[in-house]
Amino acid sequence: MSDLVLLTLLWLIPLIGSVAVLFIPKSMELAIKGVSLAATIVTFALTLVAFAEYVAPNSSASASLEARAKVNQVKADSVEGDADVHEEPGAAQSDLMVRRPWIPYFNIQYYLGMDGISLSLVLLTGLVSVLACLASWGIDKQVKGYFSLFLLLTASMMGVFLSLDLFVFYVFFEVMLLPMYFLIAVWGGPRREYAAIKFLLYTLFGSVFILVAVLILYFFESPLTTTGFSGHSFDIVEMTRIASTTGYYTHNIQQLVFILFFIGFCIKLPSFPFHTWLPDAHVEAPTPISMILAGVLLKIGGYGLIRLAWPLAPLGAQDWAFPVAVVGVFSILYGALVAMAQTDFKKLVAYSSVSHMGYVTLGMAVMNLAGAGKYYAYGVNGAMYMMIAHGITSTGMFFLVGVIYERAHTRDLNKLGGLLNIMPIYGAVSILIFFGSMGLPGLCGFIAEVFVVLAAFNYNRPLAILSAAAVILTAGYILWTLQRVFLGKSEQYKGLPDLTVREKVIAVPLVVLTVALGVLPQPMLLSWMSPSVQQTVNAVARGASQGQTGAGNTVASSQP
Amino acid sequence: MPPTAAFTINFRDFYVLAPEIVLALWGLVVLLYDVGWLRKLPNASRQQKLGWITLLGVFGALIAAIHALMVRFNLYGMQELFNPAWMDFDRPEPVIFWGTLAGDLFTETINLFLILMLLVAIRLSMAWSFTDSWGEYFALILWSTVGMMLLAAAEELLTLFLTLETMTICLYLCTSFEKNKRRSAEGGLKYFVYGSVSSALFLFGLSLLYGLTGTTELYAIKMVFTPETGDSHIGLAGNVSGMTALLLMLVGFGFKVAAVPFHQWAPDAYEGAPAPVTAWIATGSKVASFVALMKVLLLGLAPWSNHMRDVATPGWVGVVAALAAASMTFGNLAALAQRNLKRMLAYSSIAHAGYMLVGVAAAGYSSRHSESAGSVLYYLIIYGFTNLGAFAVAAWLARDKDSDDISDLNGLGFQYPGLAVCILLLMLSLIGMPPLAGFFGKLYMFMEALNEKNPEGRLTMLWLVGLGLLNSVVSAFYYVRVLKAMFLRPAEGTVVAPAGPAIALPIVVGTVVALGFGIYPAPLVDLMKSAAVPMLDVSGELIGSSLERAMWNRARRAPTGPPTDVKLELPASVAPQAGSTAPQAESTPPPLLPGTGKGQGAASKKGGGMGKGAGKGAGALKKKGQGKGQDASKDAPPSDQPKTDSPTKDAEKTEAPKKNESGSDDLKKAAPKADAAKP
Repeated sequence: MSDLVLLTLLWLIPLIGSVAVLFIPKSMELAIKGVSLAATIVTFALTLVAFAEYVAPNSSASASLEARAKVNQVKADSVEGDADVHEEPGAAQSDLMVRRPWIPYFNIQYYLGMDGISLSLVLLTGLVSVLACLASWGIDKQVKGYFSLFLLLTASMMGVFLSLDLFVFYVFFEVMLLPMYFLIAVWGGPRREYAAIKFLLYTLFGSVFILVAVLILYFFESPLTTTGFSGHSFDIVEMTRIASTTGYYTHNIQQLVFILFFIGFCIKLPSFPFHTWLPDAHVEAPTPISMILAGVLLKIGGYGLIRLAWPLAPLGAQDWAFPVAVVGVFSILYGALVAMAQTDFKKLVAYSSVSHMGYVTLGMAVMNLAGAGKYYAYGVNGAMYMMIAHGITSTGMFFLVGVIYERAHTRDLNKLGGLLNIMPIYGAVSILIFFGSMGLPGLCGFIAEVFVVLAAFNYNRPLAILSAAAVILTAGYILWTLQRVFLGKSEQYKGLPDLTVREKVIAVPLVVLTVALGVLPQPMLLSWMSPSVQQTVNAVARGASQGQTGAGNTVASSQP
Repeated sequence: MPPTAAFTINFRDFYVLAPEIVLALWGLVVLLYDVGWLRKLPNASRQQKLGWITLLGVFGALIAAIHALMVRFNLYGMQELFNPAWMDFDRPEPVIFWGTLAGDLFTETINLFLILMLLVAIRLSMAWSFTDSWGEYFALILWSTVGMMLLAAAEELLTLFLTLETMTICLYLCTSFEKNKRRSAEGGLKYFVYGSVSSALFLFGLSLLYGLTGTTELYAIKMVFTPETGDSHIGLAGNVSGMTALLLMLVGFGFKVAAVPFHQWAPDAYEGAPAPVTAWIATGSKVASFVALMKVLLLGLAPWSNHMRDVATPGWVGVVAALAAASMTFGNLAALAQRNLKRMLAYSSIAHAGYMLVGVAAAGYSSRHSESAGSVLYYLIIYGFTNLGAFAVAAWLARDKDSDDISDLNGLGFQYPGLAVCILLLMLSLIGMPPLAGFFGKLYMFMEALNEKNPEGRLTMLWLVGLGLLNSVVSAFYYVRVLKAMFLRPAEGTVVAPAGPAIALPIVVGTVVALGFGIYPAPLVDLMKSAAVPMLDVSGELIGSSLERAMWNRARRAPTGPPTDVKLELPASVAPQAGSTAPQAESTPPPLLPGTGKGQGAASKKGGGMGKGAGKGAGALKKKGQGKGQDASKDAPPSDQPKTDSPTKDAEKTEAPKKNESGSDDLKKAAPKADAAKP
């Protein structure tokens, strides 16, 4: 399968499904659900095809993005049109990258590609959307609209992770908002409209920051003219190369761009102090949407940080690293403490997301670049691992909360209790996944936390100690929750049915992955993801070192 | 126009105005048909009949407009087909009727889009019966369109003012056409009172400008203000009368485009007017007024834009930037509080005017005038079509519920999901959500605003753009309210009947435009970019006809020397004209036949200034040069003029300075004679 077809189908199939669903008569609910499930399964299968292509031995796809970008050139990508004639020399070889001109006047390309970082998230998106689609089986209100929007959401999430052109990235990023808004606002809980508009405005506000940063990068013209690059590009790979190997983007600009990107993606992540939309959105959203929101949408914030904020503004990142790390640690502690105070099961899980996403921020920010960024690579690997691990455990947690809410019609932790006896399978799955989220050794969360704390220790000891101590808080609220929900005896909930087959089908992959990622981190994820992480880290480290050595060059070259 | 010149009218001038003429005459036809044949019929069937007849005329104008573009781009061999001897396509002049109106790619494009919007608006007017006087109504709408089209074509201030008034007076009347509603009459009166006051101020501004320059023609005004050496951006420092003229004119334009603080009429007039009229005021009139604004500011008053390429200096760029910031912010914040759909759209259109003024300010300060102006044109077109759709929703509610609050939309998404999705896309395009055209238009405009080499103004522009983007977040809040009503609320009270073709048409057309040009904007971007070049370019004939007077005035204002001694030379900015014609010829997309089309037009423009033998402009110049008594026929080329044909075009570029000299020699010769002719 050629790259163009494969990469396009990854986002196009859900989109086609989303339109196709609209043409099925309202009464045929099962057909609607079937088509949606088929679309998500096909998408997931395609992500696996891409994965197989990526990890195949001697695959040309596992080369760095930069190397592949050189093979895939858009010919005649001049500003003034005439871009009809183009060939892709690399078309014959499947290297998971595609480039076509889209709006030549602004040098905008239809530019998709995957490396280990995006591939891991694409896989996660594919899996979570299948599971969420299964979890949506119980939706009975306006089924057609729901599944159409659901598939549109899946399409846009895929697009965000696939795009290597800032314009395309932004388009997909924004398209995501609308289905999410409606999914919360129509199918949500009692305060759904408030939660939905809050989500929409926060995210739109964040995207303004991102757009301004993108425009600054696009129009910035450096005093340094020797690079042969003159801006006016949305090409992420090319801009990363420029930022890391030349002093094209000056120090001030990088600081500004970094701050804008950071605020923009922090809103999405979310990190303290921009997190307040998250608990509302989670509490009001229907279960499958919560799964998507926690499992994938939050990762878009982290992905933006890893793909854009750090590589495009390494100097700015280095300057702001310490405050950002402090924000990360504060988010970890704050999220955990607030989670502890919750009585609403879903809100608790939502705040635990804030806490976990703090590890992502921290892992990115611990920029100890000594030794060619060896320790920093731990941090970024940890951040990525946390995104995947959290994607799996939080999806599971929201799913499990949904299961109990469906049966007991309450999420109040003080009212629940004794469920382990009543629903043993449910209890076992819950305990495993909650432990995975807590970071119990042998489960997926642990690996991520260890990596991040290890990197933090080599960066700043007090911060590392604080972030490590947060594990106690995490254990505190998770264990306390498990105790309140599952232990003890309950007359009230006697006779609640255990997991159905459909729910077991959803739970099994999550349980398996939670354990597998904890026991076999190397073959499962790190072996193919960390080379890409290492490339990113190298690029950031090189870019940041431009600040010391490159500053002289810049001045020298602009002096005469 | 000096009375001394004995001009003859070229028939081709009428031909270029064909769409306007068709519409103007068709207005009479509609009126007479109504009085003559339809008097007896009941109101509703009269409306339908007249509506279809009106549409017939609009189709005629549409064909004329498309025909003009087809000839220009030489599609299907149209140029040979429609090129009889009397039509003179070999030498298409960029201006017609002695330089008062433009007839170039730009006017043809704008005419096309205005007629398309008119088509939609007229069809929308047939949705329901809000008045009895249908003949008058349709005639006035047609005539207002004639005003708009001529306004967009106006090349000099008097024509500009007259066409502006033609347009607005028709719209004043249309606003108060819903005679059984108090708010309609109230809206019309407010519109009229504000409009006439601002027109008076505008006219005062124009008269000051005339007093300062001695000419009403935009290009000549520019020439008078352009210094002979140095940066042509001189700004307005210390020029009190200039500043007064400028501010007064901005009051007039600010009123027409509904920019803060001249916007107070807009919410009332928009709410009061019948929805189709509101749609037409908000789209057609805004498009035409913005075009006129850009022409006056970017062509005539370009030297006053700013001082030394900085935004925050005395000059109109600073004022326009302030208006833009105020309009965006105020429009959006005020729209937040609205419960009435039309009023909400009125405030939002104020905000959109603010966004577009950002583009105008950018075009003023940057060195890429025409590209920036092209982005504003793109935005205008997208804005026009999406807003027509949005007002059609208001018409739908007014027809079936006799009220147009946002809450009247409740439950629409469940009753008419198809149209509701279209409305959803329209609203998202108005917010500026990708991948819709509203987003691309906004981004395109903002990107052009930032696309300027010199760093001084850029920071200000970045702030302005940032403010614009933040404002679009604010706007999301109230547009989403429409979506919320449609999709989240159950239906209540009377249910709206199916839309019918009259109301569905604008909504669907708007959606198609928003979606199509959002995903694939390239063709419209190219068209608008090439259309913006002639909009802001020099009109050749003007050099011959009135530059001389302008130069005389300038010489008189000069501190040294009596007018007879002063050396009259073409200002320095004419010389770059030779250079500026080259990109223009390139940017016209399709290849043109040698010796025809725009390339030749550009050459003949130059020829007009430099004394091209066959050119009418040169003929005029020549006549003046040789004195008024001589009865020189225009077809007999004077023998002492150098012939410039298209094969020598390339050579001309290199010879430009020399030609310039010869041109100025010509003027020098002309000067004393003209002087003597003066009383």
